[in-house]
Amino acid sequence: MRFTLGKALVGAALAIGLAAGTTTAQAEDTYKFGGVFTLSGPASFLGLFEEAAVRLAVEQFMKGDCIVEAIPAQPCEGGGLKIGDKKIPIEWKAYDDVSEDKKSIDAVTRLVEQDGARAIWGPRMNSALLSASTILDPQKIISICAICSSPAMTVGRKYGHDITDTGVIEKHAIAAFISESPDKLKEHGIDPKLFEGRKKAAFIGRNELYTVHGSIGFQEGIEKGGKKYAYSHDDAVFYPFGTTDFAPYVAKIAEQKPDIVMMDAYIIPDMLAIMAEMKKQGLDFETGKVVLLGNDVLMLQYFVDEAKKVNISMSSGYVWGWQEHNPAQDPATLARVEKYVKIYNEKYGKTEVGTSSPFDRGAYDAGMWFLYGVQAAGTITDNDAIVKAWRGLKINGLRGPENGFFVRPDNGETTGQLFASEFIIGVKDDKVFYTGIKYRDELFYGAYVYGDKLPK
Amino acid sequence: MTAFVQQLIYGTSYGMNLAVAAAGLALIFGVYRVINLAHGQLIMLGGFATYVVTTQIGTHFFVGFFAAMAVMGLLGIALESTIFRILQARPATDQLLASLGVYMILGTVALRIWGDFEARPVNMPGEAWALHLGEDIRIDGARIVTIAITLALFIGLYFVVYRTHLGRTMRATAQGGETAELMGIRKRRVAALVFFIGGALGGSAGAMLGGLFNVRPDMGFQPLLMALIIIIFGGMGSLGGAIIAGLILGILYNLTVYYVGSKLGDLVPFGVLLIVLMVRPQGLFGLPGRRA
Repeated sequence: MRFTLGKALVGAALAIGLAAGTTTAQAEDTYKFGGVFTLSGPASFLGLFEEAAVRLAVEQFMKGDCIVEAIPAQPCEGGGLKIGDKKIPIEWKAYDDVSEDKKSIDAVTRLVEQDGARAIWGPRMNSALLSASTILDPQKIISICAICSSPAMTVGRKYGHDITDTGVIEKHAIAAFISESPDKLKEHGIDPKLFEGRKKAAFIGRNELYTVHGSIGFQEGIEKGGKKYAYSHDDAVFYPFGTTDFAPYVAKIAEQKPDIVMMDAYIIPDMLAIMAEMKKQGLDFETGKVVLLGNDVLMLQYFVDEAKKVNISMSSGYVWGWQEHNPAQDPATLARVEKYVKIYNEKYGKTEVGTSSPFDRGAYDAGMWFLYGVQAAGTITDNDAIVKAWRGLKINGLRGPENGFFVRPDNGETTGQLFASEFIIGVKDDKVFYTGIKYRDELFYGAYVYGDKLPK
Repeated sequence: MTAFVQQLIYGTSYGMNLAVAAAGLALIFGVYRVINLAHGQLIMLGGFATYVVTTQIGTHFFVGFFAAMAVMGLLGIALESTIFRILQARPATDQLLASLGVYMILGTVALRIWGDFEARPVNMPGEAWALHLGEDIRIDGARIVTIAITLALFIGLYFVVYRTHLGRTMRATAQGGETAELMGIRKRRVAALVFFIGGALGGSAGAMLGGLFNVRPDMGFQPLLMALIIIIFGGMGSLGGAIIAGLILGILYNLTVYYVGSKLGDLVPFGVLLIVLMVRPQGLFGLPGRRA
């Protein structure tokens, strides 16, 4: 019996050794990474394009037609990542979290433990993202997101990468805009009296970490802008998921008698319902009773058109927002975008993913930038080296030239946070337009933008 | 005071919508003893049916409204005659899970067909005007219309359930299915009728919600959640209880959001649920033997 058991143990050890050897060999033959996205359910519009764009980046990299370029230059020869003399194929796997935290974490675990992923894209939802970080960080798994907009992605996280702005950074931008001098507004063709006599700001958003951080960022931005407006994060109004009747929430905003309302929502039906209710309750942005501020979804031409369908006009001159993607592209960027959009639309235009928008372009940039980073590291297994190499690269992407990571001013460390710009957008004659006002360096401050630990 | 009255008005309107949604659920449970979670998607599909008929085809709101009632009623019959009839002899958990499955399937199908990116307005009577009481209180015309429709629906429902032969057969089946069958009542026919009325009520709730706000694929979620609490609060299977409980919850919800805190609105229904389960498990109008 002991002999048999001994043989069995040796056999098992050999089998495990062989299996481990096989796994290592496979890992060296293929670079595996994957993602967790919301691909179905009401928030699928936030996941479908991101997954599609990263998948396209992998395919284009494998084809050797990367469209975007790394700085310093990295080869894009096709056949896979060029590591030394070898070409390592890339394997991409994506899971659907159906907008549920538990499914997100299940998928993250599956990707790491079963699929052998060395980097994980997502999850998008901030609550799931925090849980995922407890799985990924100890195992040194690189974590990436191109639409998360959360400081939880990078602050205090060595392997986290946020390839977009955050809810905090973008609120810093819009708060900077409403704190601008009349002369600066006039210089950019905006009515210099737009904010004259306006004293009180209010905030409404869905009850989630992104908007809670956004409200904090809005308060920080107003304080930094000279406290021209009364606003406290404690007064922010948050509505729950699934709300149909926004009347009590808008009433709570109206009670504050605001002159400016920041609507931090990105679900189109929510936004339309809130705006309709605001008009009914006297918070009329069509007549200038209030100035309505919103995010980059509000400033999509598509949204302006949808609002018009429900008799909401955004062309009054009292609706403003931002975009993270440069609307005034240089010729080289425009050429890249044109080429990319053609490929993307041919592939996805007639599917549920839909045609290209600035959002998928950001995700494509992020995907390609990351692959260049792995290649630059010269290894597919050492994530410390990959992080270092990636953060040392910039990219001439679809967003514009020379996108890079933010470098902390306090210790000179390169973070995983995109050094994102914010472009102030308005609406005129039912068309969105870029004001020419752009922020970047002045937005990166505060404990929710960089630091060793995210405040609780 | 004006703010309080305004919130009472909003709460009444919201509560009436919830009461209609809950009435369909209560009716089906009262007779069939199944909690039909798919009801949430009948509300949503009712909204889409109204949108298609009213906005896309271009008819009057009430054409869309009755079309939504009819189509959702028929869908209710379809669900009863296929899934629920087969599962009727099985444990309640099987039926509950099956209805959850239907909920998920219908939600996914709707999302695939319509997506969640578009504005889907339904042109509702009363949208363009409002009744002003003093300087600060307003009642939107569309909310007045939905309150009127709700009252009409409840009067009609009361008439059917308590003043017609069909209603008697429904009540007899609710009191004892086997005895009713022995008395010559065709149970299957009653079941089909109950699912038709339940579906139609879900459809009407969706039409009104779609008219007041926008039609969207996730619009059935919150009304379903609230309806489940309402039928427990009001007393399982009690129509009157559903109406009263819907109104109370709607008003409490609005007052809490306004006076206590926007993040706390959702705590009200669940707080009420816990208290009811602990203090009066049969609900407001339920009989002591019929517990949630």
